[in-house]
Amino acid sequence: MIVKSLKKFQQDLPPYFIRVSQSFIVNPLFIEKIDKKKKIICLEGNIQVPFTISLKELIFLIGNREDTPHNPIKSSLNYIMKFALIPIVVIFLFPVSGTAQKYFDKSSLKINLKKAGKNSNELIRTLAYFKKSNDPLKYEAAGFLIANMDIHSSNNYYWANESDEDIKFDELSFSDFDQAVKKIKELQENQTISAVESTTPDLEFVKSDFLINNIEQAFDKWRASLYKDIPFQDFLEYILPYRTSIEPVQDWRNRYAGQFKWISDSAKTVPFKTLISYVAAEYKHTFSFGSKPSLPNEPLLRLGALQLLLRKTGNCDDVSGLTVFELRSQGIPAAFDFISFWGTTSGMHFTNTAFDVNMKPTYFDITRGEIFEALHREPAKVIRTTYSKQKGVLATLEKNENIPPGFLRRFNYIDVTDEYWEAANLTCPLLNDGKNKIVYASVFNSGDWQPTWWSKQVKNNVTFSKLAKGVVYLPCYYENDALIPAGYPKVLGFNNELVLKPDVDQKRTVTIKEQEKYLKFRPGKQYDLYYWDNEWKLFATQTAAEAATELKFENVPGSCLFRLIPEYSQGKERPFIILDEGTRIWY
Amino acid sequence: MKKILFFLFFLKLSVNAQSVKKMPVNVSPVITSLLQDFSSTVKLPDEKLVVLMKYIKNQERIVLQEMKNGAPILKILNLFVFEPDKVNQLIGAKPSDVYYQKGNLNISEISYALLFRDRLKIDDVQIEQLLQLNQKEREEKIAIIRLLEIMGSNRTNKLFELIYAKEASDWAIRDWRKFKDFKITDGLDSVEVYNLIYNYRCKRLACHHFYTKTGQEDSVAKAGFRHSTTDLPRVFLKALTPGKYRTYFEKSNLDEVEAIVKKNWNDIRLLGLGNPTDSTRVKRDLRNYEMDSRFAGNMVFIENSLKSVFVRQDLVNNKPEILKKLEKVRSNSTNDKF
Repeated sequence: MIVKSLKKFQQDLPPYFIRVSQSFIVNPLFIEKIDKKKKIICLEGNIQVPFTISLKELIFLIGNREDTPHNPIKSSLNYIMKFALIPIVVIFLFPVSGTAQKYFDKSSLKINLKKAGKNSNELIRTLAYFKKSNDPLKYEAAGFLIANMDIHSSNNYYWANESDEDIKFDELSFSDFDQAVKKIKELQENQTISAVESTTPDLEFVKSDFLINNIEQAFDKWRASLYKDIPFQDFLEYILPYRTSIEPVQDWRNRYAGQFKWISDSAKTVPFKTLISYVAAEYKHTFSFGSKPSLPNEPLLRLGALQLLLRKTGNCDDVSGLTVFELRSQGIPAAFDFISFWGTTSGMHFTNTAFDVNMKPTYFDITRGEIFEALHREPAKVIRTTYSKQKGVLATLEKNENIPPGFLRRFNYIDVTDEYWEAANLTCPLLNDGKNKIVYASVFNSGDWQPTWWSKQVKNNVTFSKLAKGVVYLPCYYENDALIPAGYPKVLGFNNELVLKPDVDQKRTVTIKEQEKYLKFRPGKQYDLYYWDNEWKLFATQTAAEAATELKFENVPGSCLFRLIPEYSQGKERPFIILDEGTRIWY
Repeated sequence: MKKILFFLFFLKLSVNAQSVKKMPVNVSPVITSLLQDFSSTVKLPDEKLVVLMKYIKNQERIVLQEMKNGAPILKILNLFVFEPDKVNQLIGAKPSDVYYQKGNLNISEISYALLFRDRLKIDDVQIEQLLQLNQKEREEKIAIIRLLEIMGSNRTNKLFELIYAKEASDWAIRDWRKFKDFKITDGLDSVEVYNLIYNYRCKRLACHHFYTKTGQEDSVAKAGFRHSTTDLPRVFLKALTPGKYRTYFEKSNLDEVEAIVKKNWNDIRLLGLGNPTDSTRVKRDLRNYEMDSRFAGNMVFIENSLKSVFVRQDLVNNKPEILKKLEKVRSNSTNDKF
């Protein structure tokens, strides 16, 4: 029994649905013809609906709605056909009583169903399946996945022959990865085949069977686990998702559920931290960490869940994904975290967080096989990947092309830096006034400044939230695909803050001493001392004498960020400061 | 007449191994093969070849008789050795030097295969095939491949085990003596322990021989020459029983453990993490942890089971606090907390 007015139903429907009379709302995708004499709309399936609005208005609404999906999808939407008449659609897909969806955004769901194009029937089928299941939480879960699906896609590739046809080579059909490599090499000997990179949006790819199985299995494991009482939102975010990041989507739940059953068995008998230490130990025992083994010229950024089991190795991002799959397969909430950039060395890193039954986090680095209270060195930012879109992230405020490449362009992350490291807000003075301009906190990493966080400029200042201590940050704008310094670097120390603006009035003698593991002078080699003043400026060059253990530079501006670059540099030299009393601090 | 025939045979033999087809009927395959071993290295005048052949023939007769009497393999191997002094005496110092430059194993695998033809159950066709191998094919690397082709992997494996019987026995005796030194032989059956280790060592040496000579991993897999570094500790564990194996492990690792404990304790003192009065207790904790960790790691290595992985992890989880502090200080960057 429908107890809602059609007006209210229409509000719940995609905006391109048309109310054609007092009693009917029509999906224009299924209109076959309009009988203007009888004032009847003929829909696919030989359904006739009378309309009372004017013909002019009807034609306008059918033909000029910008938000109406294009007709090519019509032919494939056989399933939706059943729901061309709105009363049925309304009953079937959306709640009839006043229970509002708490866990996903309805309008996002509608938009995504529209964006899914030909695949929308698969998503609708999933929703319909759970609507009928009499388990409102499962319906919420399906809605949650689909409403947030538009930001997810698989980075993948396929093997194509000379005619660019997919030769349907699937490494997962091999029981041994070496055999897969051998096979592709054999194929390459006989014909020209190459790997073609592809990005597949989940909305256009994920099928209902896969989604339904994923949801059912996630619920089964969760409800049978010690975690059955955790907040539903946490279940949605950290157990339910079928993917961790950009890896190819694969049907992993069943396989992982069996292979890692020992985790849920152990969870009943050992403390949580011990359990996680076992997970880390098992990884070290069974898998290896390092460059991912690959097929020849394979353009794959991250391994899928089943590829991980086949290849048994991968980079830190891959194996962090592996851990998430393992834990989630047992109904244990787990997160995929990463250090966007290290603050005092080059590169980035991926770690994991697992949650106990009270959702208290345990942090662990699977590549080191250990759980930890804090990272072993300074991060710039630590970011937790969520499945759902997060409010207030930069991508919701700024166009993608105006954001530097990297995680800041994404919608699904939260800042957890202060969980991993001592952190504080940092206010940096800027060179020029500005209002609401986006400023990026950048760290020196891999030989250049790398944007790691953002904030809005207020007059000639910017305040960044929760930056890791023990790091130097340079405020920058992002313009024309490049970072432009917006101020001087600033040290966010553990006990001090220091703007590194070269002070030519306070010149001094700087003595740079050798330091084990950090700096060793080679006799006869030249060393260039640079300092940062909106760019790296060469101050002076010196040659290390025989048995030199230090280099002395006179009349150096005060309060500088330095780099000492030897002639044999490989670009790995870290910047440093030298305090007035002579202490050197590397960053 | 007979002598002339032999001369003709030897002359051709030194040029082309195929000439064995014209071998006189009363020359055994072993003699033929051994002469090929010699002639592939040293060119000898006919009269010296005849002397050598007579000697070999005599040796073979003795060996075959011993084999018939059921003599142990070690005795057979001992008789089937051509001492440099004897060969020197037979063919002269210079050619003998050339011959022995080849290395210790101056008898080819082919000759051994033919000597042990009954034990290996090699049929006449296979014997003929072995004898027809040319000089190049008799060289170590290729010879092994040919042996595999002619006799199959099981027989080839068995052949190498026979060849290395003496070395394997020496190892087994050495290991037993070590157990004795560690005072863990009480209640053990020495024959049983010897046999376990001897059999393992035979297999290990056969595998090592095959692998180092061919270096072909595919062939290793194909031929069934498989060996794992976990095999020896597994054999020891089986031979000694768990309690005695732990003692053996501890005694074997004691020096290394003590060196680590000493270094850690020195660092703890230098970094001010411990007091001299704590010395006995801390050192004991460090020693126990180091030894337990090593043993747990060894059991992971042997058993390759999740259970042993978790036992080791439990130890790591309960690492002495002082060691945790030390590791933290060691891994910290040199920056002060500015």
